[in-house]
Amino acid sequence: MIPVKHIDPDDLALYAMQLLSAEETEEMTLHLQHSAEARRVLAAIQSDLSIYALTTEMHSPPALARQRLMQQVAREKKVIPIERAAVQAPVYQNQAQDDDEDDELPMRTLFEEERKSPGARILPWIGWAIAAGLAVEVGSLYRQQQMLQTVETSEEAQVAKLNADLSRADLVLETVKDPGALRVNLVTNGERPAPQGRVSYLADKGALVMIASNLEPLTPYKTYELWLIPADGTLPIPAGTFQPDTSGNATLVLPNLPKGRAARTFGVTVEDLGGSQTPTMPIIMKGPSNS
Amino acid sequence: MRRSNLLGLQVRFMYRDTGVLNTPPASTQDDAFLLALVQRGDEAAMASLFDRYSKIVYSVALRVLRDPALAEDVLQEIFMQIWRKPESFTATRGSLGGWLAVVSRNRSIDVLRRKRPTDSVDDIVLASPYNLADEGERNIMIEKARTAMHLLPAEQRKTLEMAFFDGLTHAEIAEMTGDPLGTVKTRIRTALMSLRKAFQA
Repeated sequence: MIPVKHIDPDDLALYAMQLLSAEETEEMTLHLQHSAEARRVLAAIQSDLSIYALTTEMHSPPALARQRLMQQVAREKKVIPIERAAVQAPVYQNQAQDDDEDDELPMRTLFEEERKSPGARILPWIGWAIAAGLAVEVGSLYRQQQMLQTVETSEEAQVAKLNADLSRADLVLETVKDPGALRVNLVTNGERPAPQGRVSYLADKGALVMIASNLEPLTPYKTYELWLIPADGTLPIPAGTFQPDTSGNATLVLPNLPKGRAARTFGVTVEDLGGSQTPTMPIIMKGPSNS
Repeated sequence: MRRSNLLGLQVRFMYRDTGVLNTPPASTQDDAFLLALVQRGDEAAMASLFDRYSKIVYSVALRVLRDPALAEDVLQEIFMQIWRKPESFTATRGSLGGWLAVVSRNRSIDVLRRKRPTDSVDDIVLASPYNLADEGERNIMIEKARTAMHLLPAEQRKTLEMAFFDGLTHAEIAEMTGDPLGTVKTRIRTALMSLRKAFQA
């Protein structure tokens, strides 16, 4: 006898999220086994939950996760069963047809079958089994070889791409940072170039590149310092110190910054050599506010 | 079983003349087709499924566990389950992405509670008609779901978040918020119903 009990739909949502106690879960599982309507409601709730799950912030898994999975997949290679070859059963001549022919043939065949020892009956199958086993093994080895070749090619391509990216990144850095690089500021005719800086900043990665030009030379024991002014109104964060060259150019590449700090703007001050934890007024250069 | 054999035969027939059984499938191939290939041991199909859904699985796990290494463990475990037992997923028909999102959440909660997996992969059935295989469609759905959630009253949104992503029981939520147990349960259910209505509208 199946116990008929009213189930609260609210409890089905908790059941779907595995939030009921062990006893309640057991009771609900029993109820679900006997109620198609409850199963339908549960499936609808699971569907709602799947949609809700998508509201989370999306992140790509680490780059190596795919490689790790595929290596594990390769380790657990599947052996697809080969369809058994159709083995014909022994054919005995029809008795009716044999009436006018040699009656001994079928009888002899039958007796021969019966006379065979179990070993003799199994022996031919052993041959087939060995052949099938070898075929599976060869197939498996071939697939393994193909897979290894694919992995190797893919990895070679990946390494080549990484090398190319690295060379390019090095070149960009060298062009920006090399003191010997020719730096030209393009201005309108007759205009006296004013100190200026350009900042590129990726908040989620804490990556920053700044290129400044036309900076005034500093007095000894002084340095320029860049400040990140956070969007949340908290205190400015020191983003690195820098010294201009004789032409007034300076760069600041990937200083040590916390990740995920949204910036309202950036500013530059003059500080004592070694930098400061709080900015000293006045602000020499400042970007427009982003909020 | 018969259905998967038929799919397998179709796959074999399609590729018999071309000899490209291991060619990586195009992104437009549907989940059932890729699963059929996975069932036949096609690793490229497995990679396609990973490319399609790893972001969802990883993101949900990361939200629950807040630990990239643990989230990656859940990711690996779930996709290895697909590799080992693809036939259990075929029944979800067109909602593999949603199914994976729920499984990822449940596995992550299990990890959070430091207990063995509580549900069998076969136990979760979705009534969802939504197909998350297409990236464009998936992005639209994500935006739609987020918008619907923002429109919910803050207490409903928070309660559902505590239950689903933090794995807190209704009793724990009631204790933390000071709300009656019944109110907590009703808020969870109402929030889910509102989400459903937003998608049916």
